Amino acid sequence: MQFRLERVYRTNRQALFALALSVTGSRELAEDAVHDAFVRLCSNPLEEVKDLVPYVFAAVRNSAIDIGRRQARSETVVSLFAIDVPTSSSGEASEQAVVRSEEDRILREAVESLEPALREIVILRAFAELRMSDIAEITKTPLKTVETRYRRALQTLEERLRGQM
Amino acid sequence: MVPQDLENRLRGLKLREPSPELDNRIERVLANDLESLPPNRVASQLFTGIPGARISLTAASLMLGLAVGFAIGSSRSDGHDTELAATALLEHPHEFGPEEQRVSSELRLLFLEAEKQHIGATPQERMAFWQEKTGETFDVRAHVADRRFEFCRLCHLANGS
Repeated sequence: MQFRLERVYRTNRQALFALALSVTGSRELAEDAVHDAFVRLCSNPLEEVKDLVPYVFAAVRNSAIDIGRRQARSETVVSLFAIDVPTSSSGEASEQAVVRSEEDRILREAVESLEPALREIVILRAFAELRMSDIAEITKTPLKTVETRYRRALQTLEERLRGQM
Repeated sequence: MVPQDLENRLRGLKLREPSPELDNRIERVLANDLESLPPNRVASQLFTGIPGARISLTAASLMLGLAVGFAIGSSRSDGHDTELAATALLEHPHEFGPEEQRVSSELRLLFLEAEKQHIGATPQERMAFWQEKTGETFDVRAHVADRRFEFCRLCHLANGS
């Protein structure tokens, strides 16, 4: 079991952390949430769990919500993303890199400003690449609602991109 | 932009990395592989970092919560529940099975050890003190092998024990 859990963590650590960060808004609390989730996972029998990945995401989400309830959400919300600085090179390639970087910045900010229910679905779908049915289970939301929210999230992101470029 | 393109653009963004400290914490949790260990071994393994002579009521209460949590299979993590379960186990050990009773007697030894060191506060008071200090609900499993456990220990040391 330890090996399975370890593999899930190694493969999904950024997305798990992003999900917790999205809920708590604080790097420290997000790390505590991931840690607490794994402590609980280790103390539960998991042999019966067929697909461990969504199970672990659900555990981290629940843990982050628990911690979020106990602690006030941080006023300075930490970004979900690492910021790529465009590498300096000359000519057109450099210009394209700057444009691309600007688009990425807008997209990052657009994701972060999504309402929480949409943002978590974007994290679970676009970054963790989970199935919609898994996301429905993780978020305890009907499948249709998840699909609608995801479409709405993408639509919002596209509008932001179009509006600012 | 079609949704597929937008999804690809999103996937091109780099998510923030968790700190190496989190990786270490998860590694330690997985290394302990709590589910495969009996309660007493879980407790002793997790407290190997604490020098024997410094076993305090804090450690005893932590161990008690941990042992009770595993021994009676409670999935609840609320500090109050832990406290109630701990009290019940200590006060009415006959109502529990032989394994729980054995854990209970081991815990009694820890409490005696603590009393020898003239530590006045009860574990419940310690938990309450810790909760008041941190604003968090006491969850023993969450405080093992993590920075808050270090804080917990420091907190109690600073308070005179």
